[in-house]
Amino acid sequence: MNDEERRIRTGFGVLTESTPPAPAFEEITKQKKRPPIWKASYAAAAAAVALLVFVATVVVDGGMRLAYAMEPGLDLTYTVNGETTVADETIANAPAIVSYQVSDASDGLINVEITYQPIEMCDECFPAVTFTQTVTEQGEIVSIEGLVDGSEIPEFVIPTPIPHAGISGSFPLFLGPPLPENELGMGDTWATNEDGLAGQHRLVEQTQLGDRDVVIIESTYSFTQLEIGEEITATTRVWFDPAERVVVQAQITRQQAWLDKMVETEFQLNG
Amino acid sequence: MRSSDREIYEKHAADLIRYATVLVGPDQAPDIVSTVVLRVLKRRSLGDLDDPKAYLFRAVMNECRSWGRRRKTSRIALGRFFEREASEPLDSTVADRVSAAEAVWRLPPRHKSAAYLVYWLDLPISEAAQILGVSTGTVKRYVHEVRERIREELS
Repeated sequence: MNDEERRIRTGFGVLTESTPPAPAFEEITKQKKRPPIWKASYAAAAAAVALLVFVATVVVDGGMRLAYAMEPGLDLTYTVNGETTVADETIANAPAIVSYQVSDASDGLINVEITYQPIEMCDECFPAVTFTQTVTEQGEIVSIEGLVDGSEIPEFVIPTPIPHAGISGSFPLFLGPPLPENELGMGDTWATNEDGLAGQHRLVEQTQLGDRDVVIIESTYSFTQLEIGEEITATTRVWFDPAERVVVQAQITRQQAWLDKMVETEFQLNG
Repeated sequence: MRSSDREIYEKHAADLIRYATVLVGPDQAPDIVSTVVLRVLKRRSLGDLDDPKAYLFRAVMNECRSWGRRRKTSRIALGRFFEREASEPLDSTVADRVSAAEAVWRLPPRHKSAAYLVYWLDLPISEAAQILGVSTGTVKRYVHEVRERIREELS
């Protein structure tokens, strides 16, 4: 073992000394039984964005994440709790991914976290820009905190109360796995094998978002040899409107994979 | 007989919490592990996973990276690591330990993960690659770059 390896081991030795106890299994499963706090607001917001072209909606546990591709100069509005227009933003710089994460806070407040990431940048070479707004149930914005890779948000992306929305059609979004030719039932699985889009998929649920009937497909992809030159594995949930046969929303757990997919593939479900 | 979710979780819990501690610090680690396990359990049983250990390790790393993007880098967490050291006279041995820990702590997440799996857990490159979801060549590159960086920082 050389000096560097010894020092690396020493470093990890110090770091692991502070390891806390692992959460008990009961503590974790107790959380599982809690009702979804954001079910109502999620459905309302999802219905709103489903009207837009090139929209991906990401649902996270206990909250909601929306992601958009936008060009410079376009504005965006979104809704929380089905009635409150909470934030708007103008993209002033490069084409960017805009993602919103909405989660509950204490005392009836809503935390809205918004992240920008220029499309042509990888997450290793440019920090995502994140700011957090805390919003009351009445929609009043009570605080804004901006971070860029741990620092305060720079002026060029300072959020201002803003107008409205435009979604660019210039960027193909990640839009989910090809469906098999045979009819699918709930719980059915299938696989895709295309280069760069190999994965396992499962039809998990049929539900309603706003006035749309959708099905949820959960996928695990293995991306290989993408632009950043390494393999990425990601889990994706894709929501289809079975009537119109178009994708209305998609979730992927890793933004980088989603970005790579987005710039490389445009998926069409029977047009 | 297939293991239950509890059995699988408890088998890997200590490793997962230690891994998360290395990546984000002791204050955030329990939440990271809870979030990851809960997310999996909402979709499927842990027993449905082909390789629960690899899957959970990878999920912890991804969650830590997401958390790191959203939060200020955790000098606070780093402070916790050195509470014990700070209460003791800072002789050269302790100073070396602190320097090494700080250097390791500052590594980018994937580099840190690779180094942790290879140098701390002594996993073969192939197993580290499987856990990280990357090729063996990528793991080799990560650990090489870590060694170079540690050499530069601590020389």
